[in-house]
Amino acid sequence: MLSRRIFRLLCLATAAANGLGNVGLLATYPWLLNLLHVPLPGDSYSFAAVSGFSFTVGLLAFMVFWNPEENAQLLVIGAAGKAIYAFFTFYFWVFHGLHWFYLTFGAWDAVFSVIFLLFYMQVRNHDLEILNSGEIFSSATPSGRKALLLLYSLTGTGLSALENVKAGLEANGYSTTEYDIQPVETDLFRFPFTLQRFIRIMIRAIVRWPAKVEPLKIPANHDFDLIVVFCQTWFVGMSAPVEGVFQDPQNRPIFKGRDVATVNVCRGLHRRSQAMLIRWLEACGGNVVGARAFEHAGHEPSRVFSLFAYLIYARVGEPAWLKWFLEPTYGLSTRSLDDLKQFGASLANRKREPVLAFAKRGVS
Amino acid sequence: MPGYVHNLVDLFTLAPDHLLMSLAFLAAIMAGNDLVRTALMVELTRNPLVHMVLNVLTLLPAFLIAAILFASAWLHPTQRWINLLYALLLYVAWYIGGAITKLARRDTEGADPGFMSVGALVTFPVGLLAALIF
Repeated sequence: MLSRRIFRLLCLATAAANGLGNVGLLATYPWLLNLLHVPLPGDSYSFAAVSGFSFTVGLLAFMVFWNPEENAQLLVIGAAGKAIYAFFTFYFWVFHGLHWFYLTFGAWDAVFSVIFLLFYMQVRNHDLEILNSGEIFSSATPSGRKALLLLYSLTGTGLSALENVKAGLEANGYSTTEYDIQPVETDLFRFPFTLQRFIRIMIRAIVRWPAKVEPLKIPANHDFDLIVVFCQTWFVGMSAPVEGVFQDPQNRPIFKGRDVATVNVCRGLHRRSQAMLIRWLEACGGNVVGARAFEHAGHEPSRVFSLFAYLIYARVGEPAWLKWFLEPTYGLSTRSLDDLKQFGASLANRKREPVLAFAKRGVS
Repeated sequence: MPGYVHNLVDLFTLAPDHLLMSLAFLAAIMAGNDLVRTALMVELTRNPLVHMVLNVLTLLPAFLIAAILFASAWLHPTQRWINLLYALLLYVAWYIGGAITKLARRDTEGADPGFMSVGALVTFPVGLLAALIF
């Protein structure tokens, strides 16, 4: 992995190249291009204008170097600008005989459009990376040693995750209460599916059509000091019934000022569903102290086809003619389940400090 | 047809006259797809439009390569079979685009060979069909 320091130095390099380089090029280009036997630009005005725009991208890169977190959005503009410049340079090199000397600028910008996007990924939402590294943030609430475990699992894979977190919590002095989220549309959110219902759920998940859930029968002044929310990934995002909990304003006070933790279970894509869940909890005033995401056991591509086969047949190892290819189990590995038990233990033993966790880690 | 449209069609259809350039251009699109997708993944978490875009980007390269194979076989039938190999190279570029996101942070999912293989079930049958038809 490239460190923040390396990305900053790369930004400084392109700041110097775009900023100083363009000034130098404008000042010396007749002499320099003759020296390199490069034809002079056909249109001096366009050449000067492009140099001017390129200079501003240098300023942009310098601002990112100076304060990456504050100026992260500039990286998107820089990446788009450099990619567009690279494309046009490439196009004119291929179809209009542009000299290779100019292509080097396009190649430089193509590389830096990638670097800018990578740096953007690193700088933004850094709190999620810290949480995923295994860190447990300190608690801001007095311990009542009581945890609420909120779950909706359509196919049942989330249940094993819940059982293991619960075991970890209870082994460390917590009492736990499980709460099943109940969708209002019970005829739709039912497993096994019909093909028609699967397609309805899929389309609704993609367009983020909300799913109403029965109001949680938990008062805002409950005595749980920790709430653990379990969520699956449905078409890149949160499962609709779990998001339904947060979409109902009546449920939001339950999380306010409480320690909350998240467990995401998925086939292979956890980032968005986890980020959605964490941002919802923060929006409700929850103090996110821990987050874990776990992928199904096995390897691709058999894992994704095992998921589809399970959703169609509701049984492991079906269809029989494809058994050689499918994963022998569906859901989490033994190792993941052990990790979840440890996660429960870590949550139970989290430190207590009178500073809110999200204030400490600087949410972006 | 204006010249620039003709040129762009060449770039998008693996035209024999500009084959290497076309491959480089399409490889950049494939890699860029997963870079943008990964960058967007944890942004605007309640925005349905972003969510739809992410779902589209998950399989877009597969459909794009399928369309390229079809159009290329139609416009340049002499290379319709070798195009299947070029399609494989574009899948490698797609994979690299996802894999290099690990350079930015450890908790990205990287490339997704699972959905890439689902995509291959779209791309290659279309490519084979086009090779047989044209």
